[in-house]
Amino acid sequence: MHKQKKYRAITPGVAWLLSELQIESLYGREALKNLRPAKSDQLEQLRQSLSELETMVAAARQDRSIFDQAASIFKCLRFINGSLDNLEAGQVPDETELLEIKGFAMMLTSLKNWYDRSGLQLPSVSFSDIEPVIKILNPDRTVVASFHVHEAYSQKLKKIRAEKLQLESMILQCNDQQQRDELRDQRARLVQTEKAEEHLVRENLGRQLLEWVTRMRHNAMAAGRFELLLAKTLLACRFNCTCPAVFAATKKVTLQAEEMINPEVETILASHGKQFTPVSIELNPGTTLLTGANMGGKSVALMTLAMNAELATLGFFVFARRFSMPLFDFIYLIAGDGQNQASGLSSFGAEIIRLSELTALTRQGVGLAICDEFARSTNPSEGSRFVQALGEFLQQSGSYGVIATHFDGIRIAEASYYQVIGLKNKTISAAGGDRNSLLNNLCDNMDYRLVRLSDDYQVPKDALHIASILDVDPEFMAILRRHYPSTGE
Amino acid sequence: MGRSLAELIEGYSCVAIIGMEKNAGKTTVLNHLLSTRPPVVQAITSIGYDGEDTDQVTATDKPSIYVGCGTMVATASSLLGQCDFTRELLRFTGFHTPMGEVVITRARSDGFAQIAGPSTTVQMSSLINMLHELGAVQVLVDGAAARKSTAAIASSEACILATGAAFSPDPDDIIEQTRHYTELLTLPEFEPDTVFALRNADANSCILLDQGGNICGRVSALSDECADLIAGRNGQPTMALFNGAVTRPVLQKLLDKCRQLDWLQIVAEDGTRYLINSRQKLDLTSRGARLAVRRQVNLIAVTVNPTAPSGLKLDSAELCDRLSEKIGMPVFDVYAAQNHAFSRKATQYA
Repeated sequence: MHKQKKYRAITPGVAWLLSELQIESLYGREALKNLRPAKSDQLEQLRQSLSELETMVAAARQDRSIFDQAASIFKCLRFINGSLDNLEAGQVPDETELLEIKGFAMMLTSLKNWYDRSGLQLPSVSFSDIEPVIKILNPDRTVVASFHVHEAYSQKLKKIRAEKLQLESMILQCNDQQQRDELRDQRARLVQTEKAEEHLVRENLGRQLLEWVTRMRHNAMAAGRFELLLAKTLLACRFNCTCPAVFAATKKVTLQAEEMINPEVETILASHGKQFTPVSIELNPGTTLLTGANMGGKSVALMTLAMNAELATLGFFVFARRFSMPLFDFIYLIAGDGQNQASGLSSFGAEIIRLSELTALTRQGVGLAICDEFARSTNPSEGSRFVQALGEFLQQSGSYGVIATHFDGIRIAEASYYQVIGLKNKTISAAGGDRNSLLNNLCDNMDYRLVRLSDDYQVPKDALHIASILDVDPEFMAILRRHYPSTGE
Repeated sequence: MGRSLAELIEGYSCVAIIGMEKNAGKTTVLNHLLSTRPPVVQAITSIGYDGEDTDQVTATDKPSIYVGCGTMVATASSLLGQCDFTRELLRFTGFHTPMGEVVITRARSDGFAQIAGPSTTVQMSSLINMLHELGAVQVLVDGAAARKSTAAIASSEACILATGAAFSPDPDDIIEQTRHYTELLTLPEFEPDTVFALRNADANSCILLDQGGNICGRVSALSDECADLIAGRNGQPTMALFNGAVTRPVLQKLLDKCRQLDWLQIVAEDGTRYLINSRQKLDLTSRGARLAVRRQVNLIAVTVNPTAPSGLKLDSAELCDRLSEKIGMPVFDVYAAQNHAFSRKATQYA
């Protein structure tokens, strides 16, 4: 079978969410492994899976417990592909394989019955009827979860076992050592014929099961997909996510993100008793420039946007009050310090390599490019030229690019400009105390929301102020202040 | 004549049979207990796998386990083919061994069984629960030889110790070593809450607690410093908690350093963790050290196999008598039981 590599999340947020998904069965994990972002020509499939997810979420929001039975089935569903492979290879199934197949058939039959009753009727999820498999492996009228090579399969087997039972009771009652040994020899010979006959029975069962293998595989895959869908559903309910609207990427489509949150950051903040400030942004094709004070949440805003876009392409609900976007061909990040001494790349070198990959992608389709403080690690006079060029390049590429920067004076024709609102109170000062209270003071005074600006914006000059709020050494501050123009900060 | 071995274990939901040595007759005891066919559903499993047809070490015939119809057998899947009772497969357990996943079966006829079970305490306890849930009233656990039997005794209600001529050709030696070992197994249980001290402790740690129960030292029980650290508390009331083995080198070094040990209490998980000889134990206790365990083994009987792998046969009646007198516990001759493999009673000397 063709083995696919596990999907590697583009954004840290998605990687975190995938690790939070509750998936129990190996079939569910297989489905997760095969998760792929929808390409621009798969818009209809993506919309269908989002609408299936909508149906599931609506059902779960009404009554979460309807999924309990399915969830409990996934918990004990065994991965039987090995047994099915062996059947197809013509091997005689052993008794553990038959037990495994019987258990699977029983589980999947109850899953199918539950699903049919649930009224969910999702177009992509259907289970074949494999109840006959249970009948093959359970000749009695009462269905039990155990398996044994039943006498009902063979008259000869029934006879051998009756004879064996008789011998065993004779052995039990016999007190003469020699006679007992003889009886044991007889029994041992009988055990051999019993085993031979059981082998024939199992061979025959294997042949009967062979015609059900395809349907069992189909059900296994469907169960895996359904478990992934269920995990997406429970995630959407847990974080109160919304269904994204996804459109074909034509020239005029705007990405609209209203009040996005980042669940990972939100969880961390919540553990410190803090709240995540939702961010909103609108992107048109071309470049959007994002500026703002240090520690103002630019990176978090960018990553939250990229995460939500990635989730939408993967058929997940998103973390926003409203979210609509074109179906991108790619989502690409140039963010963080890519310095890697092992590969001999400096931060700047790594960025330039990422840049080449990005420019190549923009020629193949329409994507979302997220660039966090591009060229920050080179000298500012050249760095700002790189950012200017990247902005101009993305503006004419047809893709959607967001560049966060501290560089001054970047002006790109027809680009959009956003800024983190930043420090609410321009005169706050150090609170004193330990590092935590300094940080708290800063966070309490920061407005993390984004505002749209015209192109005569100013890059905020808050570094000095923020350093003083964080209580940097007074001697250092005195020296620093000498290097600022006397007109003010 | 007192109660038979089978009668002694009545009412216990799980009984482990552990051996002082290989060839101590563990399997014979199991076979005896299985052959009595009590009116309740029995189940059998084993700690790990210990089932070559002949003993690899001593080349003696190893008796196979013979189970009766209706008995539940929990064994590794790859050994099912070597079992010759007609069987029903009840369920998978999810516990994997080198011989495959452990599967629970029910015998639908009598027959020989090859048994390999899980080897950790957690898995064994969980397996015993599964067997009870499936209807087994009495679970017999074939525990490994002494030092490896922790998982067996930790998950059982009662324990039978198998000893015999395989251990030593000298009856005095057998009696002395068995006495020493039963003493270790039945060391007093240390009640007060010490779990907090062992939480997050590394394996094979020794943790020292002062009189107030506060941790005042922590060291690897396998390191040279272990004895130094304990000896450094000389005179101050101290409890040394071990979560792994309490080894001879540590205690010997301690004995060399301290003349008096009446300030010291040693607490191990259970008696099998004390890897010391009777001489050392005497040295420790005569200097005032108190030995205790967190879990006392409920030892209900000792069995003796008077025949050594070499063919040597000791006087069974005398051995059993003397042993029983020494340890104050019922002692059974399994050889008598082996000769009447399906008899209703083993002979008891008590």
